[in-house]
Amino acid sequence: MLKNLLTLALLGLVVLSASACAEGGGRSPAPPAAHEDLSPVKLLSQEDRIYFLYRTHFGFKPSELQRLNQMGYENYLDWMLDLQPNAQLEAAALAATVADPNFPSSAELARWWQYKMVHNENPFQELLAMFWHDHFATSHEVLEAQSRFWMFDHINLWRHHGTANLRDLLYNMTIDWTMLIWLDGYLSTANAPNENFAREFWELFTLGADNGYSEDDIQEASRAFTGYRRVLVPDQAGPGLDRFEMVFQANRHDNNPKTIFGQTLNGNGQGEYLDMVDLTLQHRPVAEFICRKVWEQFVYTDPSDELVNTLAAELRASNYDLKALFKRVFLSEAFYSARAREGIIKSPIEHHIGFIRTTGLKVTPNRLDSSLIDSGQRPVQPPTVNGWPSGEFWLSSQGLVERANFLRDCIHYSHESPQSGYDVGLALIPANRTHDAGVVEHLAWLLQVTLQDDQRQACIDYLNSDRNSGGVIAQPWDFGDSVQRNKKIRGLLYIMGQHPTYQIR
Amino acid sequence: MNKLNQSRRNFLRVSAAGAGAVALSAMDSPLTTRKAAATPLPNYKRLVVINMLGGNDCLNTLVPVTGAVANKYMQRRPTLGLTPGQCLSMAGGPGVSEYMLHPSFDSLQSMWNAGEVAFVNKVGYPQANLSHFVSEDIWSYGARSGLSSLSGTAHGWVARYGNTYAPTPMALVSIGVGRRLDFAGANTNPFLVSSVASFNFDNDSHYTNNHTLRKQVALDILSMQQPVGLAGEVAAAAEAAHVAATQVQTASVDYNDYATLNSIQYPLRAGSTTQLTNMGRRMRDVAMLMHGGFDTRVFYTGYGGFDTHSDQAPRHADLLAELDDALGVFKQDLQTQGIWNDVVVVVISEFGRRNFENGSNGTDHGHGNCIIAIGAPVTGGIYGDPITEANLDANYLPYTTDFRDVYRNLIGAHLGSDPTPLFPESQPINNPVNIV
Repeated sequence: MLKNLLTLALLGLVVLSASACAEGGGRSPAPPAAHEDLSPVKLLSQEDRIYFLYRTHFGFKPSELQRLNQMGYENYLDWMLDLQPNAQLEAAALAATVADPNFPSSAELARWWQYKMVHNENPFQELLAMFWHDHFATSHEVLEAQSRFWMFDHINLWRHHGTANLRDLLYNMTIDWTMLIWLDGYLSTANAPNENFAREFWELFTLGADNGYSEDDIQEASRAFTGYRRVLVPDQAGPGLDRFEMVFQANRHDNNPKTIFGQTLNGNGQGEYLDMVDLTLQHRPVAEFICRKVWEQFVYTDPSDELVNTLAAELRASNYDLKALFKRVFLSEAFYSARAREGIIKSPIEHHIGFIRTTGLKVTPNRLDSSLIDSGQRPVQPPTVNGWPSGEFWLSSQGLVERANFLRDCIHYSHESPQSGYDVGLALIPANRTHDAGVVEHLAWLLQVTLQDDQRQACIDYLNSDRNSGGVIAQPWDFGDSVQRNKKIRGLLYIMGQHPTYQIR
Repeated sequence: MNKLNQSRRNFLRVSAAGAGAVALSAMDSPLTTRKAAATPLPNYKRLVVINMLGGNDCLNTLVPVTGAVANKYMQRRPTLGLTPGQCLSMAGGPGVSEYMLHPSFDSLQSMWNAGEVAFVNKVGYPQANLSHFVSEDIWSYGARSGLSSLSGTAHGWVARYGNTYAPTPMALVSIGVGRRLDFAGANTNPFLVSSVASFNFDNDSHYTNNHTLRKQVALDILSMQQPVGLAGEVAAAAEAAHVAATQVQTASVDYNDYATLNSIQYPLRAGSTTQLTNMGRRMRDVAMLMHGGFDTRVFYTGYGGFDTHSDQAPRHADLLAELDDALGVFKQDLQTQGIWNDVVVVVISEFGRRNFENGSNGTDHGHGNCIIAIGAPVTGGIYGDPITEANLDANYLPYTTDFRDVYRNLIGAHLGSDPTPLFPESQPINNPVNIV
């Protein structure tokens, strides 16, 4: 606790809790409600740590818990929030999924990222990148064969800089080549400014709909966001190898002064993209918008304005240090409050990737990708500029059927099938947990499924029965029988993967 | 605070939905109701929305063929323009002689001649947006200015319709077009599937018998879940999905028997003896769910490929033929089911295309577009302001009818519900049309 406080103090982030600030007349103030308490969390139990991993990773693995326990919570947070590129992972992902990195197909782009989601030893990096990708949603669908390789950099922006400085992130986003295509920036010229990016820059990316800007502001901002052009760069290596690049061309840019938020924005050429970010950060509540979204992603929906304002003030005070924000959130009592633990519906990616990581039952990149397409959440392909739906929208009829069918794919097609030597029972079940109730309890723990007593009994009964053409028959559980072991543990994973609590993180 | 407001989100039991919904056999579940073979709900009004994704070229769909307008049209489209000799004629009615149908529309021609087709010209919304995505969102929201006019309501117009007038699980159905924003915010769990066939729990051939047991145990566990909190909500949705999958697959078997018996064959892909065209399969799925007795009010489907920036003529002809062929069988099917009088099909697209052809034998994104409405309840004819020479001289067709006025007419006069609360945003152009 003391260490937490010291660290936060060093970061310049200690803000006395609201109740302490309000203290004036000697009356002892009411402590903040647990779900609004931003003070550093006290000693964490093993269950707390698993909850943390389950919320911020794709499911959890015992090895991740072990790492967390060895490092200690704060050190683990520092390690997790440090998003340096992992050269080994990058190379492996490319080798496993992309034939020609200069001309990737859209399916290769999707699989390239999915590979990292499955294999990254810091899954928070991918989960967070998906959060930003959803927020600043762009799709490969607007790119062509000669520009699709841009998507590598676009996704890596979120993967490698997701905990960096928010101002830098916004700078990079405004001039990201894929973004310039996606929202028509490359068509926006001094003579014909296009409002598409200007509108979404505020409505979706930094402020929220109708939150402090006018149609006039949008028109003026669209003049600031002018000047980029897409060019085909000849490749000396041979015909058909030309690729697109984005260039800024001063005479396409409107360099006249603009009036935005009642402020004058002077002509500054290419620099105006960054000036627009600065102007918006300076005069409008971007920090509030981002803090609310982060909170809703990782803690719970509909946080109070007070809580959001506190976090936003800190984010501004830190000059937009996102790492400090995330650390503050994950270190707070509120993150561990009962309200936070009510849970959040998993997206298909969280469900699918989490199941693979926890069980080790891998399917081919092709099959994972097609299941995510069927589930409506293929990375690099958001449905609209508004990103993916969230929460209860994922409970659509086919979405739930697709989850079951993905589990079926994992137990049926798994690379690591009984035939190929992956014995899921031996891999997952410790030697002292091999009796029927032990297996059920252990798998429920691994998947963080909460079983009611009747459901636990149904699982135990399942382990002790089978079915033939005549119907259900008794078949007492025998862990030592490898055929039975693999069949029934795979079956139990199929059953538990559909448990209602497994759809919640 | 409890965010799980059960009254807000209400997973109604599927078995209560379709009057003819088929029983789960051999499952002793509280959801089970035993019913005889399904029949379509009688006198039950339904709307089928077909979205031509990518921006359909309306000028080459309903083609101007007379006078100065036709001359201007040919001048702007020297290679893509369709001549009266190529097009299909349209019988009778004022203003009709000015237009002809794209040559692929032979089924539509016979429906037109039966007085069952309405075209609304120059449909759009204020401040046309040339982005597919933004424009599609506007159509999905039923609002031009983002979400601000919709605060406190569901974002999608289909969802708002369902929440207000048809809050049952099968009332809103989407086939083959993903999780469209039109459905965002529905209180019930709308039925969004890529195809009826895909809405099925896959078997596991490594362990066939055991898999049957697993599926049953998984379902048993869902039904044991206490109806409390988020997990209770998930369990209800998942249980409903299990039940719906069984009902829909049973309906599918029934429908296949019916279709064979009545020689209903949706169009096949070129060169295939088994695979249906996309629109053939989707319209078949729509007809199948109608046949299954489900209480669906709004079906939403569609197909892509209309973004014809290049080499437009053959692609556009194929696309329109795919729709036309499917609609021809769809009419036969619904007549056989005895429900052709209860269904309106409305064909939309996010925008039209530029008046002039580009340098690649194609057309670029445009503004104003036409809507097509088809069905016995439709009063056949050509609606909306006529296309003028001046319109074609400009680069973009203007819009003179807001698409929401067409939706209002279909919801009010056909589905019989007051559309007023569904489209709260004020419109600069209010030009009511009465195609139904």
